[in-house]
Amino acid sequence: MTVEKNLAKYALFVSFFPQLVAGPIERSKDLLPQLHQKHYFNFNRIKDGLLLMLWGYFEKVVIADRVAILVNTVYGDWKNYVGFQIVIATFFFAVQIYCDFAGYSHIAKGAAQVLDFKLVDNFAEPYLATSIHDFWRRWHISLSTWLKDYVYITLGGNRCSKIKKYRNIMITFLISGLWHGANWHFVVWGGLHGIYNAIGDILKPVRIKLLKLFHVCPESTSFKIGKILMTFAFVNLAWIFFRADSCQVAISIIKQMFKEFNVWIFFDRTSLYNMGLDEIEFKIAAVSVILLYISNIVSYVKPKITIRSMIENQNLAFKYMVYIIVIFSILIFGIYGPEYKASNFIYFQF
Amino acid sequence: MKIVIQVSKVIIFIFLFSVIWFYIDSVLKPKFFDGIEPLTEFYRFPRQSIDVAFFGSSHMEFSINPVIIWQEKGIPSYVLSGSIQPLWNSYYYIKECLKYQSPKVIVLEGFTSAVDVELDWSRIVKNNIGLKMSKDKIESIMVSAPKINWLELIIGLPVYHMRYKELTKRDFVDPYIRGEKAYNNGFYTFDKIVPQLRPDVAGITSLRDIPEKQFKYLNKIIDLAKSKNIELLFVITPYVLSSIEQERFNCLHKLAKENNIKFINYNLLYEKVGLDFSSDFLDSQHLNINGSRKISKHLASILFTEYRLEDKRQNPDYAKWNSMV
Repeated sequence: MTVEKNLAKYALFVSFFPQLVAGPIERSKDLLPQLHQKHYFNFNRIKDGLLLMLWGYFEKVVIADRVAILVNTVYGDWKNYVGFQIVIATFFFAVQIYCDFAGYSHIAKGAAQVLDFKLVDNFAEPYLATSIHDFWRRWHISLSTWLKDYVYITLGGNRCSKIKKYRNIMITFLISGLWHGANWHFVVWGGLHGIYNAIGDILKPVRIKLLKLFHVCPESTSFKIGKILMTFAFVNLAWIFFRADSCQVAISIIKQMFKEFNVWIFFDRTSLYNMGLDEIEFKIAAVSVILLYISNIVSYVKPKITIRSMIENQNLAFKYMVYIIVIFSILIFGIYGPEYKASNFIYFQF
Repeated sequence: MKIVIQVSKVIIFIFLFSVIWFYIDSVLKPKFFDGIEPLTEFYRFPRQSIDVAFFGSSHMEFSINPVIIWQEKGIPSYVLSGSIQPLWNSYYYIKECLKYQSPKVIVLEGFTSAVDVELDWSRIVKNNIGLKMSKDKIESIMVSAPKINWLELIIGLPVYHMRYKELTKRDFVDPYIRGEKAYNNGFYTFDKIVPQLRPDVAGITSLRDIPEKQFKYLNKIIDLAKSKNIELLFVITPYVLSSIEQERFNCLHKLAKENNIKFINYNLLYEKVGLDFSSDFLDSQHLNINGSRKISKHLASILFTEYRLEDKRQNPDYAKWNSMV
């Protein structure tokens, strides 16, 4: 990477508005050269950028801000919620923080694309990760690669003894936790991910032996689904520490979760709608989350194909119908306006 | 050629988007009877057809029945009021009215000149959202709402998009298309009777300043009426008022005198109009159908005699008004 001697270009790199507030964290080698390139008007590129921004807005105002109402209700009054109510709130928080942050990243990436700049992908279907190690290759990619390059590798990475390697993993994840906030519950959240990673690495030989012993094909879809669900459960457990106001509260919330096996809340037609979202709002949230998962699964199965490009290949009438449905879904079902003072993007604070 | 196709695609999309936007906006827009719906009905009213326009708070909406005024003296009129309609909104409602009608007399109900208007959000919405998009609507919003809400109110949809949870058939099926009328030229009332204690403010002669913002817009209304050669009439409808309010009405009376404007305070004319506090009110602030009939008859007579308005009951252009009653 050559030194940038043009102050104006350097200032533009530092203050590049689409990603200034909440990332992605762009490396100079990726963004600075683009400031020297010529940029042209391209109808399809601009349209694709606008569609990416539209999806980002959908993630933020329709999904994240809606599920946040339930999350805030339950986590704000956790003593009155037990069992699956805590499970649902924690699942919704996982959705909230993903849609909030990925939504912002998509808006930033789309805005940059409109201007003919390319920003790095910050998320790659993180909740379809098959291990915690895999999760961190898919979650907040620009931060995790930065931490890997500037903390983990600087400490010696994995080119050292096993003990030092695990020490390096723990330090990296504890710093990741601290980066999110100077509070112990963030540190514990980072520490949990460090422990997950270390244990995952320690138990790897055992897992391989067990798979051979029970003749389990690690490439089978059912095994992969199992791994995805297990990983998601561990990620959610850590999210409780991230979301709770303190470590003590997080532990109490986990206790509340195991206090009662209240599976009936899924069937009694009222309990689900007494957690901050009424029946209509809860159903909108559920449908939106299903849409989110469908989009993620499509991208997971066919990484080179985006839903946007699939829509683009359809006829004009179908494309316009999809665009209009998405725009009006945001305008009608979005959580914004004076009735709901739109909550800020969570990652603005970090 | 490629550019022509791309531009055409954008134009088609914008057109489709606009059509759907206007439909969805009309469905989701609140159908409040105070402030919004009378205005919607007003916009569809035959142009240049009324001689008297009434403005003010819900006091006006519940007190003045244009049907009675037509029946009594053949004067075509319309009530454009809103819930606690502040005088700045009255001012912009008058301006809006004058784009479509040329009334000979504007009757302004003065309740909000006596109260310190701290409007809640729903009333800011009711008194602005019904106006058609124009420079006046934007100005009305800017003087009514906190700056942070200006854009939301101008666009509209951000304010009422959450109504998707309360939509009914009425939101989708326009009653006017079916030829039905929801309101009688802006008049709305109940036949409920709730007896009230009769206030006695006749002895209160002291003056109390009208709040600054209200005073400013009273003067703007006076100037507007003068510039358009329209007669103004200030009216205070009967209600259970306080002595402070009466002191401010005295101040309003003084302002009216200074500008040669007729002023009628019905709280000093209970006997003259035959108002009965045991049967003519639906609550402490509003008249019911009985009370409104008495006030409307009295005011029709004043309008006819003192403003020399024409009786249009025999005018073939107003044949529909006879069927209205």
